[in-house]
Amino acid sequence: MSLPLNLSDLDDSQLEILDQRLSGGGLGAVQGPPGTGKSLLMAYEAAFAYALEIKPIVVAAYGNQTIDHVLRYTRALLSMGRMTRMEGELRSHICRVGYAPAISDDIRPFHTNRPREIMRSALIFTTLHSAWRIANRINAQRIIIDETAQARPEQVYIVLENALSLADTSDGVDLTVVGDHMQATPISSNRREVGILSRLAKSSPQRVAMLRTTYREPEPNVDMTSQIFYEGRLDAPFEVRGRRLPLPNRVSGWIGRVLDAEEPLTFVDARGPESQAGFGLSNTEQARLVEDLVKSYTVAGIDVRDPDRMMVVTPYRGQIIETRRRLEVAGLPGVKVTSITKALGLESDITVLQTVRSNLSGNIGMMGWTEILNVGTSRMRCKLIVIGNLETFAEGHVYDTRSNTQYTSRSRRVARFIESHGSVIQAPCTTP
Amino acid sequence: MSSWIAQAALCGWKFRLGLIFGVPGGGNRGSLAGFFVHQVLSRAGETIERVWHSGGTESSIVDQLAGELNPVQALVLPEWRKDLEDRYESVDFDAHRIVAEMRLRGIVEGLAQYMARREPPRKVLNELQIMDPHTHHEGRLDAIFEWDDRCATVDFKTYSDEAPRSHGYDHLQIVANGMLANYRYGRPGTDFTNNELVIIYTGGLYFPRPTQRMVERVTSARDYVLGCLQSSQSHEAQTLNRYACQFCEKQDACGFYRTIERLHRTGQLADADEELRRSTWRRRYAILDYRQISHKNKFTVALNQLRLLEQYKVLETGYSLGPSSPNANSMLLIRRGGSNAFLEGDAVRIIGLEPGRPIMGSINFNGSVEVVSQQGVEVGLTGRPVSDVCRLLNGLPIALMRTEVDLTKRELQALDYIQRRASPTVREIAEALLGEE
Repeated sequence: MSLPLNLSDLDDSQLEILDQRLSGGGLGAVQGPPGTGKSLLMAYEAAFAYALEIKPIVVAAYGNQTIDHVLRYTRALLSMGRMTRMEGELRSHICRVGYAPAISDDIRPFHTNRPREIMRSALIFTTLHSAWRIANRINAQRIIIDETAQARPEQVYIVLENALSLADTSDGVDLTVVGDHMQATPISSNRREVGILSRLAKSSPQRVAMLRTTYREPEPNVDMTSQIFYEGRLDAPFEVRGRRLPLPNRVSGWIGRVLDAEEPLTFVDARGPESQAGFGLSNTEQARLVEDLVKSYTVAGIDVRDPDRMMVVTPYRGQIIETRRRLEVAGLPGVKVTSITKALGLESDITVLQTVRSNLSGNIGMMGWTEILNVGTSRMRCKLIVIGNLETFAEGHVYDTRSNTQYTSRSRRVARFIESHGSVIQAPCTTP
Repeated sequence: MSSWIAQAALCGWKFRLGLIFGVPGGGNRGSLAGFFVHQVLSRAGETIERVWHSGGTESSIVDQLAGELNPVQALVLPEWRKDLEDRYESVDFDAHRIVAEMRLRGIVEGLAQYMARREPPRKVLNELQIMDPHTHHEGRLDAIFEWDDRCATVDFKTYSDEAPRSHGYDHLQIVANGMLANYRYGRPGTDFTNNELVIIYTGGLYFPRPTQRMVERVTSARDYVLGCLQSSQSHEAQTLNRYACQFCEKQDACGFYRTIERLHRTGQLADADEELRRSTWRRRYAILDYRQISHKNKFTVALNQLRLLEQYKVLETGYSLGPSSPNANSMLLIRRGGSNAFLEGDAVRIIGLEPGRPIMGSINFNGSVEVVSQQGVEVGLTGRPVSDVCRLLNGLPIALMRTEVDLTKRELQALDYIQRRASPTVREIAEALLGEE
């Protein structure tokens, strides 16, 4: 293939899958574990298809942030390949369809919902639920959909319904679905719902290719993710395995041991109780420890307000509110504190994970859901600090209200892994 | 939901096609002008109230209203134009604008007739959403004119220039809306004492009567709608109005699904179609379940005490209006100590807790949380000017309730596409995507 695109960014497994997707027709799926470059691969597929004159191409995702991210990559690839000379020219080939306020500022210049501009574009980016705006005005030759692990069938059908011409038999369409069912499932509060990727993996595993090289987590974290969630099939290059975040200044005391840059995997055992007010579970002691950590990282010379440097995640809204409030009162607003669900697709050098649950029954709650646990423990490039009650976390019971059953989650294996490969530090107890 | 009820009262199949089978509407360009008029009127509550209080003859009210609505029109016009251009490849905007402005003028004349006949009300409540949790009936009323001892339930008939027909869709819809107004004022749904029903159409007024027959038609249609939405029940659809088919834009889809269902019942449906029917029905029921979930907070709020709701963080009270610029798109709601329940991006309903009114019958608006601070929250409003919202919330204690955005309509439409319109190749892909649960 002689195309003006640089392939040096892709590893062997990415190249193999890209080749398969571009040469093999019909339906194919790509499972991308954390940090394996799903978005980049999607952008390559879109850019190559564009270069091969397979047009129009529709690229879709469940969420606005994700699709904007893929568009950014695609724009960069097309600019790099010099297939288009300038940004202005790019805009006549690429469009971003959807609800304007939800689109990132840097992508806004590509935004349009106008039928004529959509029809003129070779690459159309949209969320699943905004695809109706395409309204059969094109007949897509290739459709690429991200985040299909959390998409229900009918949500993907919205793209099929609108991106294919009704007049055409649409025999030629190629569809690539991308995602990771170990990181996400459809959002549902009372149904056991299964996403597209998981369905495909069960019914036609031969259609699902997996990306096996992660560029995010160092050793031993990558091994934890690989063994516990991907049956040992995930690996990281040497330079990623050895990645560390040096701290400009030294911090002493017990918290200095927590911050130790040479130890990428640390569990801070905090026994303070959880408190429940309806849906808003929280844990005051864990929020206090986050405050201490953020202060200490500031002392250590880390820009804690840079979300690329540091991120605090938790599965509970109540804890997000509690932590943000605490940091604000302490004069540290602006630190990224977010839910694990919203952290999907994000990464930072340091990730602090608050497990919140701390009880004698060993009920780990949402942290026991495989996808939440996987995402919560795999956002970091250099250091993961888990704050939680180790006993509760290691018990790892989850009560499934949908099936009225109790099961043991993978948090038990995560706890064992950290005990054997990372460090466990007892937090000084302040809560009786 | 009042419009579904009115539709179901005329033809059960038409209702089911839209809401359960996901058959898309016809996209009639004739109703585009109505959209503009509706947008202007939904922002005109404050203007109507002020002009009414200033008094005058019918013609002077028309002139004054028309003049005062000019700036509102100027605001709505670019939004409407953009919407038209986003929807259609080619659109003669000026022609549509002329129709829209004429229709607005006609509605203003009808409204002025009513204003000249009645003393000014205490309050003009426009675009009011009310939900009666006991009957599971929810609707958005175009307006309620509220006096101390009575009210008027108002419907602006903006989608066409024709006068409403007695016993037709408009009549059924306003009776359904009137029942919601009755709930707001603490009366049984069927008690229309001191509740005047008014349809304001281009150049005129129509006062439909809530006769016992009409009320029964509405309540039986409401039961039918609820039965259809409960996935466990099967209801035979009926076309109650023999002329309904003549004007129906969904005849093809109706024929398709009626045939499929008949063949299924008689065991004559081909295996592949039977399998497709089974899988699409499964997904439809799943979508209806999701739709239910997206509405559950409203029921929780309507049926529980404030203290309990606060404790469970379904709703948070203690908010009051903060200073807001009238031209802004968002408003500040102050709360001592800030919010304990909300995060940026949350979809919320802002409820003005009116004394003596049920929570879900009180003044309320939709919005989304943009900023959370120690002071309170800043909420972006959806389709309402801040000044109008402030007018209605002024002096009331305010509660914020979490809501969810219901996106299921597009999902049902996609299923209709797969079952009814997709090519065999696309259907094959769709079936492969369905895979195994």
